[in-house]
Amino acid sequence: MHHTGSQSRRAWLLIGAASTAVLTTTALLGPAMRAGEATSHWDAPATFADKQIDASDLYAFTSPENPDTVTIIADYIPFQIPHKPYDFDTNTRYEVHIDNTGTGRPAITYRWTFKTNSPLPVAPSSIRKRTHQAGPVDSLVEQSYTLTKLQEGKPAQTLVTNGYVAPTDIGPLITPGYSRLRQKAVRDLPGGGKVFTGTAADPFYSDNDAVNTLRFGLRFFPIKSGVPMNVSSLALQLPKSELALGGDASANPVVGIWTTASRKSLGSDHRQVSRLGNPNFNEVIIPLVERDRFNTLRPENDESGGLVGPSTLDPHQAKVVADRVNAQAPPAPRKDLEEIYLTGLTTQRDGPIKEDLNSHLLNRDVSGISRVEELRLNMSTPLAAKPDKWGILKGDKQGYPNGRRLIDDVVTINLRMLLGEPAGKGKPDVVDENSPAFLWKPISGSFPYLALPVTAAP
Amino acid sequence: MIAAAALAGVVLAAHPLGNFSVNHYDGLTVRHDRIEDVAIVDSAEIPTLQEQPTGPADLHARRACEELRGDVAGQAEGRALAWRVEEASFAYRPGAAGLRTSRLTCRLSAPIRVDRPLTLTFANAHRADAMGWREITATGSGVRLRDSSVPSRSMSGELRDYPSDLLSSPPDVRQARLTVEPGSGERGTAASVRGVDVITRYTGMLADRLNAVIGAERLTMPLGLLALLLSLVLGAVHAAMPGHGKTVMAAYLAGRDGRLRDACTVAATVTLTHTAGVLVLGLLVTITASVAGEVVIGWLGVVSGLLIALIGTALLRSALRSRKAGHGHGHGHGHGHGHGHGHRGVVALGVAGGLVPSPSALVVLLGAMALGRTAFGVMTVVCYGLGMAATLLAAALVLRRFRNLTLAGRLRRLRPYTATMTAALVLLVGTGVTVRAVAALI
Amino acid sequence: MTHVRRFLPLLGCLLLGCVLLALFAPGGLLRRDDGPPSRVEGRPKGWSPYELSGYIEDAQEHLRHHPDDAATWASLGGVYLEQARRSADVTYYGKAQGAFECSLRLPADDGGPNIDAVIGMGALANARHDFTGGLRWAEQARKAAPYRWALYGVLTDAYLELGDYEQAQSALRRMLQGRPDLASFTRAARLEHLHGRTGPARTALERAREIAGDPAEYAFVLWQLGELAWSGGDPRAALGFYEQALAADRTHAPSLAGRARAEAALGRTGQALRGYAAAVARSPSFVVEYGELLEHLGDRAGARRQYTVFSGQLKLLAANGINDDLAVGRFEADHGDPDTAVRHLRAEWARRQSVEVADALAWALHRAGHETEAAGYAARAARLGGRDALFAYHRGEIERALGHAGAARAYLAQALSINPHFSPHGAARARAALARLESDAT
Repeated sequence: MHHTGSQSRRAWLLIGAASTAVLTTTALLGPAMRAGEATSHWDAPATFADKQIDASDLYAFTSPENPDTVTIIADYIPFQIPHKPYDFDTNTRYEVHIDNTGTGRPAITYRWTFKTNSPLPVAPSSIRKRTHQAGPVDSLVEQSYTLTKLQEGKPAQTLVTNGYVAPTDIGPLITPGYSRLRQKAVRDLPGGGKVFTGTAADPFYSDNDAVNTLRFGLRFFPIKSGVPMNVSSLALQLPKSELALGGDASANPVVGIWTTASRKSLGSDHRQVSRLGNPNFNEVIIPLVERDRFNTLRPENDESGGLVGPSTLDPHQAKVVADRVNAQAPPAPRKDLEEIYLTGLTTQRDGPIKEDLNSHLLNRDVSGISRVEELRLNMSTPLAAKPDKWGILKGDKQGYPNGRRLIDDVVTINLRMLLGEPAGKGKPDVVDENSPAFLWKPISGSFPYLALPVTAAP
Repeated sequence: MIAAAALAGVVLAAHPLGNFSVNHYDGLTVRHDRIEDVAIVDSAEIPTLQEQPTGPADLHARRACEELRGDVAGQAEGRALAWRVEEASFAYRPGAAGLRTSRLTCRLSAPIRVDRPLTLTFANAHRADAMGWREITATGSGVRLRDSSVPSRSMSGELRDYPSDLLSSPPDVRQARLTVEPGSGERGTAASVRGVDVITRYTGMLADRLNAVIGAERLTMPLGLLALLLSLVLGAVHAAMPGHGKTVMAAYLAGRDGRLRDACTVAATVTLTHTAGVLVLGLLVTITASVAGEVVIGWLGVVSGLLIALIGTALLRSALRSRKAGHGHGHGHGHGHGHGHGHRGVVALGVAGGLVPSPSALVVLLGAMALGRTAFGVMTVVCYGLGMAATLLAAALVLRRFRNLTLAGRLRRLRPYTATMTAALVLLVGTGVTVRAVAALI
Repeated sequence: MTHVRRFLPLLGCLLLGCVLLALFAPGGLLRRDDGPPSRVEGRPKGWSPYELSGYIEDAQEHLRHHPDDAATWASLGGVYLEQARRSADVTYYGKAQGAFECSLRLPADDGGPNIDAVIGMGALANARHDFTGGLRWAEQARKAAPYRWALYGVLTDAYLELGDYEQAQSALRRMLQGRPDLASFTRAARLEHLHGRTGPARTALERAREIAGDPAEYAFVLWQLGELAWSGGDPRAALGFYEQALAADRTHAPSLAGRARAEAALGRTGQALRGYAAAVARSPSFVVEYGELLEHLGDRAGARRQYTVFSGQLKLLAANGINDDLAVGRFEADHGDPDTAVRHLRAEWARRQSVEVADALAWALHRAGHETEAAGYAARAARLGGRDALFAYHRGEIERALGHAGAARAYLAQALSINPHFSPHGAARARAALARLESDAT
C-alpha cells in the first residue's frame, strides 16, 4: 500500500521540481534577477506600476534569412507572469521611428494603436479575476491593432486594420493550439515586409556580472541569463529600400531608429511618455533627476535641449563604475560616447573612433547631421559569418552599436564602452569574455525570431 | 473624499503594530491524544474600544473564545477536528493616550490519536479582514513533529514583543500544515521565513552560502572544505527532491533482495553520470555561445525516461519468465529473477538517475569556472553527485529494512509477485517521465 | 481463480499507473504547471517584480545585503507608503519614513539627496496631514529635479488641501503634460469635481480606469467613480461602482463604506449596517458616518459607541502630537459642543483655507449662533462652484437662521436636487425645513 502514498507524492513532487528548475536558477543568481534586469527598467519608479508604457528593449538588425530586409523589434510591458494576460493601452500610440537624414526628425513612423474587442468597458486583463491554473476563467478578451505608416509630406497610410494581437499562452483550455495563434499574428504588409504583434518570451539576456557592476558595484558570477517571463512585442520586417533615404539603400544605408509611447492626455493631445533608442542610455548616461524628462524628449530636440549632449560628454556613472572596478574612465569630454550614441561612428567628424560605420554622414544624400540619440543601423554592413555577441568590440561590425541583434550582450558592451572602448584601451576584462550563457528559450531563425511565450517554468 | 481616506493615515502607531490592528497568534502543541491551540488575540486601542465587552470579563472571554473556535478549522488526515474551548481569559492592558489594549487568550483542544504518522492542517480565519500580525507556531509533546510549515518558536513572544525592523513585513500566516508521528524528541524548525517550507528554506540558505564561498575573493582551505561539504549536503537534498527515480531505484534494489553491492553500484553510477552530465553541459554552455537549457534538459529528461522504461520492460519480461519457470519451486524461493540482466540493469538505472543535471550544480560549476577555479568547481560537482548518491543509498537501505519487516508478516505470500510489481512500477514511472519530458519539449 | 489472484497485484499496479497518468499526464486532469500549493524557492507562484509584495520582498532582501543603496531604500519607502495607502495599515508609515530617512542619509551618486526619497517624504507628510511639510518637500524636489513628475502629485495634493486651488491647478497641468497617467488622471478628476465639472471628472476617471495597473489601483479608481456618482445623487450607479471596486479588492475599506452608504440611501438598512460594520473593522475613518446612521435609525447607544471610538482615535492622535482640527471640528459641531468646534476650526482655517474647512467652520459658527460670520465662510466654501449637497444644505440653514427665506429655499432645494441622500439626518432636516419655508411663503 505504501506504493500509493510514495508514488503519488512523488508525482506531485515531480511536477513541483520541474517548475522549480528555472526559479532555482534565478534564486541562485540572487539580486541581479530583479527589476533592474532588463535594460531600461531601473530608471523611473514612476513607471513602476505603469507597465503598459514601459519600453524595455529595442532591436534592429538585417534579417539573417532575408538580407534585403531589416527587422525591428520593440518590446513593451516586461516581466509578464507566465499565463497571465496583459493588454496594450488603448489610448497610447506605440511608435517606431526611422530617421534616415541624421536630424532626429522621423522620416517614417510606424504607429500601432490598439483596441479592446469587447462591447463593454472591461477591467484590464491583469486585473480581472484569473488564477494561473486552468479553471473557471472568463474568456480571454482579445485586442486588435491598427498599424499606420506616417511619412513627412505624405498622407498617412494604413498598413493593417483589425490586426490580430497574439495573446499569451494560457494553456490548452483558453488558447488551444497556441502555435497557430502565433502564426495568425504574423502577417504580410502591403508593399512587402511583415509584422508581428503580441506576447512572446522575453529575448533579453544580460551578464549578471555586468549588470551588478553597473548597478551595485558588486562582482558576481559572470554568467549570462535571461528572465523566464514574457513581453509584448511589436516586430516589423521591412524592405531596406523602404527605410533608406530616397529609397536607395546602397547609397544611403544608415538609418536611426527609436521607439516611443505617447499617451493621450485629458485633452486630445498625445504626450510622449517613453522613449528608447540605445539600450541603457537613459539609466546609465542620463542622471536620475532627468530620466523622466528624457522620456518626453524628441530626438530632434536633443541638440538644443541641453540634456542629452552634456550628459553624454560627461556621464557621472562612468566615474562611479570606474571606481568600482579599479579602472580609469577616460576624462570628459567623452567624445567617444558622443560618437557612439549621438552621431554614429564616422571619420568625418574627427571623433576618437576612427571608423566609418553607422553615421548618417555615410549617406550619400546627407551633408550635415545633428547630435541625437538613436539606435543607428548601417543596412549595408554585410551579415557576419560568425556573429559575435560583443559586436564591434570584437570586430563584428554588424553587431551593437551598429543596430542591435537579439544575440548582442548589450549591457556588457555598454559597460565596456563606458570605460573607454573602442576608442581607447578601456578595460576589456571588466567582465569575463568567456562567461557562459544559460538561456531557457532559444530564439528562432525566422521572423519574428522570438520564442513562444514562457508558460510555466519548465 | 481623500480627506476621509487620509484620516486613517494620521493615526500614528501607539500600539507597536498600529492602534487599529488585531493581531493573532496560534501556538499549536500536538500530544499523543490531542492537539492544543493557545489562540491569542491582541487587539490594539481602537478595536478594543470598538468591542467593549458587556458583562463580566470571564463571560465575555468565554463568548469571544466560542466565536473564535468557530473560525478555527483543523483536519487530521482530512477529517475535521472537533475543537473545544478549555479555558478562556480576557484582560486589558494599558495602551496609549489613556486607552487600553486587550488580550484574549483561548485554550482550545481537539482529540486526535497519534498512533501512526498523521498529517494535520490548521487554519485560523478569525477576523480575517482585520489587519495585523498573524503568526502560528507548532511543537510536539510526546510525539515527534516530522514536518511543519510553521516555526516552533514565536518571533513576537506570543504577541508581547513585536520586532520592528525596516526590512521585514508583519507575518501573515493563517494556515499550518504538520506531520506528526509517534515517538519523542522534536526537530525544531529554524527561525521562520514566511510561507516557505523547511527544505526550501535550508536549501536556499545552503545555496547562498555555497555561492558566497565560491565567489569569495580568496579561497582558503577551510572555506574550500566548507564549500565541498555544502555541496555534499545540497546534493543530498537535491536527490531527496523529486525527479531522480529514487523510488524506482529503491524498489528495484529491494526487488533484487537489496544486495548492498547493487546499491553501491547504483550510487557510484549516479555520481559518475551526474558529474559527467554537469561537466559536459557546462562545457557545451562554455563552448557554444548559448545553449537553450530548456531544450537540453528536456532531451536529457526524455532519454532518462526512456532508459527507465526500457529497464522496466526488461524487468517485466524476466520476471514473468522466471515466474513461469519457477512455478514448481513453490513459495519463498524468489531468488533468481534478477539474474537475467545482472549488473547492466543496475548501471542503467544509475545512469537514468544521474542523467538530468541539476541546474544549481551547473550554476556552481559555471561560476567557479568563470572565476578561474575550474578544478575546484569540478570537485564541488563531484561532491554534489556523492551527496545525491548518499541519499539514494539511504533510500534503498531503508526500503530493504522495511521490506524485511513486511515480509516477515502476512505479506510473505505476496513475495512471488514483488518482482512483477517492481517491474511494472519501473515501467510505469519510466513511461510517465518520458511522456512528461516529451510534452515539455513540444 | 488462482490466476486471477496471481495477477491481482499486477492489475492493481496497472490501475494505479493509469490513474496517475490520467491525473498528471499533459492534458490530464491536473495540469503540469499547477505545482504544489507551497511557494517555490521562496517566491510565490506568479512572482513578478511588478507586484507590490514581490517587489517588497526583493528590495528587503537586497537591502539586507547592500544597505548603502540609496535608490532602493527610496523605492522601498515608496512601496511601503503605497502599502499603507492600500491596506490602511499605519505601521507602514513608520516603515516608509525609516526607509526614506535611510536613503536621505546616504549620498546619492550625483551629490544631492536621492530625489525619490525627497518626493517620498513629501507624500508621507501629506498622508499624515502635514500639508505644509508636503509642500516644502515637493518644492525642494522641484528645485532639484523639475522633470521628476511624481513630485507634482505631492505638490497638487498639498495645494489642494491648503486651499490654494490655482497653484494646485498649475502643478497638475504640469503633471498632465509631463506624464498623463493614473496619478495625474485621478487628481485631475478631484480638481474637476471640486469645480463642479462632473463630466470632465468622470472622463478623467474613466481614463484612469483603463490603465489601472493592479487590483488595488483599480479598486481605488472605481471607488472614486462611485463617489462621483454618489455625490451626484445616483446611489444606484454608485453602488455598481463600489461593487466593482470590491470585486477587484474585497477589502477596500472606502468602497465598503461607500456601498453601505448607498444601500442605506436605497432603503436596504440591514445590508447598510452590516456593510458599515465591515468597513469600520477595516479602517477607522468611517465611525462617525456609521454612528450617524445608527443615530438616525434610533440606536443611540450604538451611535455613542462609534462616537467613543472616534474620540479615542482623536486622543491617540493628540498623544502623537497631531491635531486633526477639521475632523474634531466637524464632529463637535454635530455631536458635541459647537464652541469647541469653532475653536478647532478657526485654528485649522489659520493653517489652511480649503473649501472643506470653510464649510465646516461656517457650519460650526451657525451651530454656535454666529450666523453672519457663518454666512461669510459658507460663501467661501462655495467659491469654486462645486456641487456639494452638504455645503448647500449648510448654507441653506445659515440663510434660514438669518431670515433670508428666499436664499434659504434656494440652497435647501439645491442640496436636495444635487443629492437627495447626502446624509440620512441632514436630508430629512433639509426636507422638513424646506417644507416649512414653503408653507411660510404661502
